[in-house]
Amino acid sequence: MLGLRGKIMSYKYKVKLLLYFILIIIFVAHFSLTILFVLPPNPIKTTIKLPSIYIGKYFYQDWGLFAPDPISMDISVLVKCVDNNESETPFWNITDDFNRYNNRKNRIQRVVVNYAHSYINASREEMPLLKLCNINPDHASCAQLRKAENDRREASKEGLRRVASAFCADIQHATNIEYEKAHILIELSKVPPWSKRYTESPTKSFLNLGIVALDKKPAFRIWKAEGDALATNYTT
Amino acid sequence: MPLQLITRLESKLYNQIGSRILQIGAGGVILYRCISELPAAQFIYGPEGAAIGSSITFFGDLGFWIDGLFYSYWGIFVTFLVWGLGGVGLILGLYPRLSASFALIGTLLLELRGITHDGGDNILRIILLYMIFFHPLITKKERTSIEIKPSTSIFLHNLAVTAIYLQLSILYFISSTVKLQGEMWVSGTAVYYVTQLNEFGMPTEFLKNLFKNSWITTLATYTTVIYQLFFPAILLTPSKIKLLWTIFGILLHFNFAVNMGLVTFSSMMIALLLFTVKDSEWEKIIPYVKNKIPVLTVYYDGQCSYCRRTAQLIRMLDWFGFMRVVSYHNDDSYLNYSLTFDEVDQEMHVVKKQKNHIKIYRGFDSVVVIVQYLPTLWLFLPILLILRIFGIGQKLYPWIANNRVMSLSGHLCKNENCSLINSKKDAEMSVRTLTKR
Repeated sequence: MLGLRGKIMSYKYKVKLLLYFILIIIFVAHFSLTILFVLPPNPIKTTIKLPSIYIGKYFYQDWGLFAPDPISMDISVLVKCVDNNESETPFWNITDDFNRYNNRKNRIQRVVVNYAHSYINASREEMPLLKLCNINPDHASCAQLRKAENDRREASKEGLRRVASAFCADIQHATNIEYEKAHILIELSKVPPWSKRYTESPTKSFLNLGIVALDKKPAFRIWKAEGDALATNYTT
Repeated sequence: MPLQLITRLESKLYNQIGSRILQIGAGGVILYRCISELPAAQFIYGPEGAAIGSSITFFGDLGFWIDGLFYSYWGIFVTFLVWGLGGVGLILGLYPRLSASFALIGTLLLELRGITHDGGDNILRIILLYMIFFHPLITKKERTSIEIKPSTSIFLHNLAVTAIYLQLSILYFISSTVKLQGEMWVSGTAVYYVTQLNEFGMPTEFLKNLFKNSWITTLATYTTVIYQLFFPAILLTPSKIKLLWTIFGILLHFNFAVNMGLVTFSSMMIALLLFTVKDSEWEKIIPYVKNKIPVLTVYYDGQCSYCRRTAQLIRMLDWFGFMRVVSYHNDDSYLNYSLTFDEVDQEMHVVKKQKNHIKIYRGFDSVVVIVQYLPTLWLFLPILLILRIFGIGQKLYPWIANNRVMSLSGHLCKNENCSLINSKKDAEMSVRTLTKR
């Protein structure tokens, strides 16, 4: 009897061992694919599509923290709300006055700034093609890059349009004026190069995203202070 | 050899203390984000807010259903609730696997929806999956070296621990190698550009100007790259080198939190760095740190239900283990400090012991010193200090102490039908006699 029991135990342990080996194989495969995914483009990565399908979709990760080159310009978003009679508010910097040590305010600011960043800067996935197309603009892959750039900008602009809708809804809540459209500008403030750090100030430039139609949104009271300030201006 | 490895992996729980710290760190970050973002949740993630993300990218066709359910007006609140419950569960060590699953679901859904996530949110999402496999025993205070039977759950715990080590090594190594492809990092000026920004830069003009200095910027740039590049190798070095590297990393991330405003990212990274400290290393660190930290013995009246509840509350809030809360009816160690039963019975006493230095606090002063060592009660500290300065606290305390409701314990107090004695005089007449002190 004991011998038989011993055999059963041994069989159970063998099954357990098999399970452990399967888990180890999954573990090794998972991390091999992770490493392949996060590495720069290389011959293996271009041959095997599995890392971008498996890791890119379910375990997406990007560890280029402030790399390859850190951000060297501040981005602000300016919005002007326009009503039915074409009268308009002044341009308002909606990314100003957000305390980065307050997580809520910091995350709100990131919503706006990240859409603007995404509108301006190429994504990490576009980088290899961007390099290629800078050298050879007639390369067949450049059409693919242009499509990716276009999609990214469209999505970012849609995000900024939704932000502008929320901002103008807050202003509307304070001023009781119904706004239909908004004019969006992105302000770029570039840090002077290292060699001119003592002689130059940040250089400013603007990117005009044009006029967008607003959604009817509830007032989230995110820009409550701005709304109140504009309401005061109107009444005075 | 592989069999030996497997036997070890299924029989010994590795990084129990580090794993628990990671649970608390991740739970803390989630709870902080949950509470702070909730008032703006509809704008950041709601159906009428600024978000345009969809779960379809992750879940495929199932995403249509998930979007409708979780990204609706009320769905956002449900997502926050699930997320917050996960965070609280991880902090308190309640249902750790379920809590990690809730935390993962919340983190994933909000990341897919919004556009605000950073590297900290990215690593949080990845490690939460591994944290589901942490052994529940790590949340018990009486964990560590007790004999446990080899099991699949221990094997999975150790696999999860290894996965987190690997993931953290990948993070640092890749981050440094990508930096080495950038001209600004190679030329030693990268930190100058970041520090001059309004978004991530130094908080004051003085500090911004400091990073215009060639030496400071070059050293800061190269130190960051070297720290990240060698991190995986340092994990394999002897404890002393590894711990120094870890302390440096914690300071580096603390600097990112204070000067760059990357609070949640830095908190996550600090929790991960503390995770990498092995149990055997904690066993060396804890006695060293304990020697530097005072131990407070709180003597309370174990026969007074109000005092018992207070003692329970102190124990619950004593997250860092500063306090030894004992009833003077059961523990007469106060005699070692030349205190008498009458003294400890008259008012609460706290004995603060640090190395060979002993200080005794009485009455209202003992209340103040307890609050000083319980961070969750720091909110009340200014009021208590004002009461002490004006002498109100010292007058108020005896009144509370003399009017505490007392009840007998033990066989004289059955089925909660205890006689209640409201004054000290009555107490002297009955309680003390009955307890035969």
